[in-house]
Amino acid sequence: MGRLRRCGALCGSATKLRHCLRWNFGAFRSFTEDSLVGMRDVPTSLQKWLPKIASGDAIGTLALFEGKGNPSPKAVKVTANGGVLNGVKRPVADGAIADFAVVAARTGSSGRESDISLFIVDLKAGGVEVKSLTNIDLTRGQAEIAFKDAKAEPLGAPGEGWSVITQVLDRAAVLMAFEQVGGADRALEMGRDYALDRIAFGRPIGSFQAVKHMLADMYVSATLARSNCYYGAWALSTNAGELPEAAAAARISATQAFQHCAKNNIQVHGGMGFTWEFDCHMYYRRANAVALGLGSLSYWEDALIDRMRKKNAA
Amino acid sequence: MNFDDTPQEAAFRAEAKAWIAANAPKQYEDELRKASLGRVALKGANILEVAKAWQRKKADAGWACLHWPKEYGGRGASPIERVIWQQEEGPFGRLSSMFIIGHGMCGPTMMAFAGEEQKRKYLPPLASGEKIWCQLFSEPAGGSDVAGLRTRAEKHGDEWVINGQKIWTSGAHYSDYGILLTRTDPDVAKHKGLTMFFLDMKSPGVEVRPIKQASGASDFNEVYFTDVRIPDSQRLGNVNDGWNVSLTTLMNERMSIGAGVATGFPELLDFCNSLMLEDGPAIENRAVRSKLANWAVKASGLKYTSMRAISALSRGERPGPENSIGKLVAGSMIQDVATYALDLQGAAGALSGPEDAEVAGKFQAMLLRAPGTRVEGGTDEIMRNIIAERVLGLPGDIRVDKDVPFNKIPTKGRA
Repeated sequence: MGRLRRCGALCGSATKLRHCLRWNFGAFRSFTEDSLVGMRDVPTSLQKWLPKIASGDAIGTLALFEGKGNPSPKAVKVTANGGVLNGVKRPVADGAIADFAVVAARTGSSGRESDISLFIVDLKAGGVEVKSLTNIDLTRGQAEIAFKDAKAEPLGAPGEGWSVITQVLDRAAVLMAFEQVGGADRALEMGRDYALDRIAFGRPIGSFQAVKHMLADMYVSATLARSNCYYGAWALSTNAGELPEAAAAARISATQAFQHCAKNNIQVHGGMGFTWEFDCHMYYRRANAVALGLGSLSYWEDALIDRMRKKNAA
Repeated sequence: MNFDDTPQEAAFRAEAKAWIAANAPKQYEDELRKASLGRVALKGANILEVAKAWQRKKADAGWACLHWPKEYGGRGASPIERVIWQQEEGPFGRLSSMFIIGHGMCGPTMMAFAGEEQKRKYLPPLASGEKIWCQLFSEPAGGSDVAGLRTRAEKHGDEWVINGQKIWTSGAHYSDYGILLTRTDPDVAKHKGLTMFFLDMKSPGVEVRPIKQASGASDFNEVYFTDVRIPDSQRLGNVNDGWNVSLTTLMNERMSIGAGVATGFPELLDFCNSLMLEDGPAIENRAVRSKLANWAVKASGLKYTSMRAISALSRGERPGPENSIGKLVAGSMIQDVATYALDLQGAAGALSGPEDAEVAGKFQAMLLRAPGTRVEGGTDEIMRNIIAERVLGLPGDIRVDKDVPFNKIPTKGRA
């Protein structure tokens, strides 16, 4: 499936709660695949995994974070020496169900980006300990993965890990942004439907301006985000030079829209929106979890301004 | 969304580009490019004369009112060609600001409701900028609730006699003609007793008084009518059907997409790129970057939303009410951007003289003009109603005056 169609599929499946599980794997698998398949030459370490990813027999994940903080080469402490990894990654999305992980590890100590390299680790092999972690989004698991002399195969050239990670994050940001826009749209639709059905003071609550203006503002956020995402999808599908800037814009806009719509959807629903019974909380949880998974807003805000400056300077 | 022209669109673009390059008043390009919000002023030249000359030149070569039929002074171009023209015209399009209401609202209303002879007489000089038109709808008692207007039109033989007052009339002080919405029957519900006319603004009994705005400038006017006589032949649409006629006018306003709305963001980004704070360049400050990024994605979101609308136009679709978001988002954004640009300067941000203020006082001017942007052409609240009702399908407001005869509607708040 082309990247553009995949954006549409992610967006569409995110709008349906019943597809939550598929949606769950969709984005993470997509961006793992995307980044791996996107490499110029498929390294031998990857060759055995690709057919299994395609057939659905294997699930991959990206092990990047090590506790608090946004993506940064300095934050990578897991070491790679003599073909084995040592250290702890957390949180790792889908880590508890993944069969293998692409791991960012430290192979140098110069203080530069070139200290970081990528490795593939079979998570079912020895020296790997996986523990599920509780997180705010109950439909997307997070895990801690501890490596103790775990066997690792290099992925790509040594020292090029961070530049690949940056590209993976940009590509993932566009794909995830479509999931976020789909979620925002669905939260808006739920709020709209409830405002039409719920009667208070003798009239549908959607006829009160305080409510309808809140919904109009949700529509505005979702629309701006969708437009930024389309531009991101265009940049992704054509490998345009604008991709880094377009990806950051799509990410920020879609994160804001999903958080805004999920939050106000609960408000429109009133007390019912705060019950376990109603689905509103699932969108609220997902909106806030997905806002963090690829680096939080402050990371992307910083990236966007950097990239706009670079473009202007060029 | 498609970022590329079709071959026909590309050919049209090339033709427009070449003609503009050969004919546009290049000496004003820089000043026009720098103008950001509110009225465009040119040093050492009368803006009205420059604008009229450019419009005349365009009309002579078939580049005025592109989407109008040729017999009325247009080019018979498609909506997408009109958008391409606007993109290519770029800063010179700012010279069209005094024609926007005539071309965008009065012209289409005349086209729909005037007689053939009248259309051939009035529309070509409107297209060429020789005559300027204004729109006389809003009143002190009818702003957002325009159907609450009170200007009376009474029939005397073949003429109508007009008495009353309009307000917020853009450009009335330099307009030659206007379209005028009046009350012809106060005994029926407010929407059912209105009638539309067009008139010569030089008619006896028309008095135009500029309004000094909160910003200090005067873009709008009060217009008083004292026993002004209009021949029945200048009535647009049926007697008491003026509300439907006005909907045609207002619907056309929304077709004016593609020209892009001012957000203030490019100016703020430039400013932050050059501004030094106590601890270094503003652009390297974390808090500044966060603010900038938030506005950047709004500005790009608006840009690509407008490109989506253009794509829809290119496919032959009609833009809908979803395009109301442009003004809604840009209006408060430009206000926030201006506020922040001043905040970054500390106490000195309050200085507004062109020689004392940063960027020649542009942000101070932006701040003072911005409240008007959020009110004119439909307030933020009306825009939200439009989105909520026409896009999301939420119920309309409960209108307590809907079925009440106009002259029984209360006119005082606190007694």
